[in-house]
Amino acid sequence: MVLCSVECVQRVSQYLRIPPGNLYMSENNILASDDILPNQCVEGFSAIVQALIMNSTSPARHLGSDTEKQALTRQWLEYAVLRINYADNALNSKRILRDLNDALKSSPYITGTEMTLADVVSYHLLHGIVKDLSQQEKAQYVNISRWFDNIQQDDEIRQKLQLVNFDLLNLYL
Amino acid sequence: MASGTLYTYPENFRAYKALIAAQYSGAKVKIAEDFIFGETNKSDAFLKKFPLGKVPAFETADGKYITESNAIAYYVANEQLRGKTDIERAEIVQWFGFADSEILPASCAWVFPLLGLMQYNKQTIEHAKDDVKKALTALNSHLLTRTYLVGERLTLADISVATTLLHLYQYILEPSLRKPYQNVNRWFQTVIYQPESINVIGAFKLADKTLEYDPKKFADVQEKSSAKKEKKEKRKEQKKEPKEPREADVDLADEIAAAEPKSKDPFDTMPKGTFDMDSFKRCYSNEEETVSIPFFWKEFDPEHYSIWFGEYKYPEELTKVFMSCNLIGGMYQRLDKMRKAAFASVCLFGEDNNSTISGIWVWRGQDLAFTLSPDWQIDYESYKWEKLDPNKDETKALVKQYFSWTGTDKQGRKFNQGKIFK
Repeated sequence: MVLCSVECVQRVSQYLRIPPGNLYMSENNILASDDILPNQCVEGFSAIVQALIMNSTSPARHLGSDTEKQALTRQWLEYAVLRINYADNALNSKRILRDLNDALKSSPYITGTEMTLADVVSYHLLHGIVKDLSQQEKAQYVNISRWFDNIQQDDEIRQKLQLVNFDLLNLYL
Repeated sequence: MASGTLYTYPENFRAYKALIAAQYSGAKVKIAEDFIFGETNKSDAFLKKFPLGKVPAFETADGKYITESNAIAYYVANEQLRGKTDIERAEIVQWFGFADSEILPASCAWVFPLLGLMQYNKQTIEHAKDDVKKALTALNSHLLTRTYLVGERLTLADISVATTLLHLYQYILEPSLRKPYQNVNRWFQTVIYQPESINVIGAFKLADKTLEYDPKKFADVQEKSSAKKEKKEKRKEQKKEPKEPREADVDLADEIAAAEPKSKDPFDTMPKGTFDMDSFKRCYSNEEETVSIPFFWKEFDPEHYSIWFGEYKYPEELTKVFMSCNLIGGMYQRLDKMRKAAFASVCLFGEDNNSTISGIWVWRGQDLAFTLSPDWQIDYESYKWEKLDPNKDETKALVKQYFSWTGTDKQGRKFNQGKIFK
């Protein structure tokens, strides 16, 4: 079981208000979509998300306002596929939380000072994990908690996902 | 939507609050164009609208008047910035207070002496350092679990506190000093690197190194401001009795800050050409004139630089030699910002009560350079300026004479002293 699933792409596409096309798992177990790009099958989670961004009304807002930020967003989308994707395993999830917590120490969003789709994707991938963290763990990964709480306030991003409570965070720091 | 005119001097961090808020809300805020700090805001018309004569001040399109930067920012903001709930709005006002009473006084007390705007007093500075640390520590722990100061989106609280911290981050908080406040750093950079902020502040650079105290700077700034005032008073001629000298209080410091040419070097707008001023100055300082003058003519780029002869218009007023030398020295000091793209050798000929001052100037551009900046216009009108043709032999002779400090003036007075502007 991996996290970069059909369901995740559907939620991202709902946020971007761009139809995800016909999503399916291809023969070699890769996520694919038929109708995002004309007459072409797009394969791979990151490629599909990027195609969605390109189809959206303001690609610069979701990908980043300059080439450096765009490169960072792509980098973190790859990170999502290669790492966060397997965070449903407890051992992996610890390592990913630690990495992300470090990355978020000096910047409010994953790619820097702007919220990009890397944040949205990571939020959706991590929701299942963060919502089950204990108060102590939320305090341990305080930067993730801060970031997560910021992201989930946007109803269009959160959609039907449960609001995770960080109210008691201060008590455990 | 809110619209109106904002009165302020350039690069005023208080005015930034309103200008950034307007970027978010789309409010039409026009900056009063012909505003001159210290004049416009002391005029009767201005005082009638804003009795305190302080800036920033805001005149709404329908003729209402607002002072105090936070109030103006609130007026031109949008709903998101003002806070969406009562508690958010209350918290935002709380942060206004924090910025104005916890950060600002300490920041000014620390930064202004280093900028030469206020007298240096070690005790005051140590005290200010403690206060800044206290405020930043509080802010740092608040921001550990928060992305923004109030709520989960940027508000006026962030704009107000971040702009109040601008000076500290610009001049004081070098990497080692700001390291303990990582959460503040993260948040501060987030606020000022928003496109809306960049549109107003420009690309902000955090301090690489803490500004160090330089007593000369204070003297320079004081002299500059008093020279300015003298000139102003001269212009207005016998306007009532002279004003009481004012203390170097924060207001005056502000005024000087406003008068400081924070604007870029006016020479920057001109093409640099091939003449390397620095290497010539190095050569002139280290070598004999027999080497440096040929070097000058070899390197000189007549397309982008010009040579001028400046002669003091009122030689009959010159008395003691040392006083005349001070006159030249003072002029050089006031032209400090010109140094990068200019060179001069000004000489005094004759003796006490019978002397003249004249010199050879070289600067970037083909026109009289002094008109480029209001700061350079204090002395130049006392001189007669003549542009020299670099191809003429007379010019070569004059350059040789003045660069090597030899010869006589037109009336045959002997060379007495020379001063180099470099």
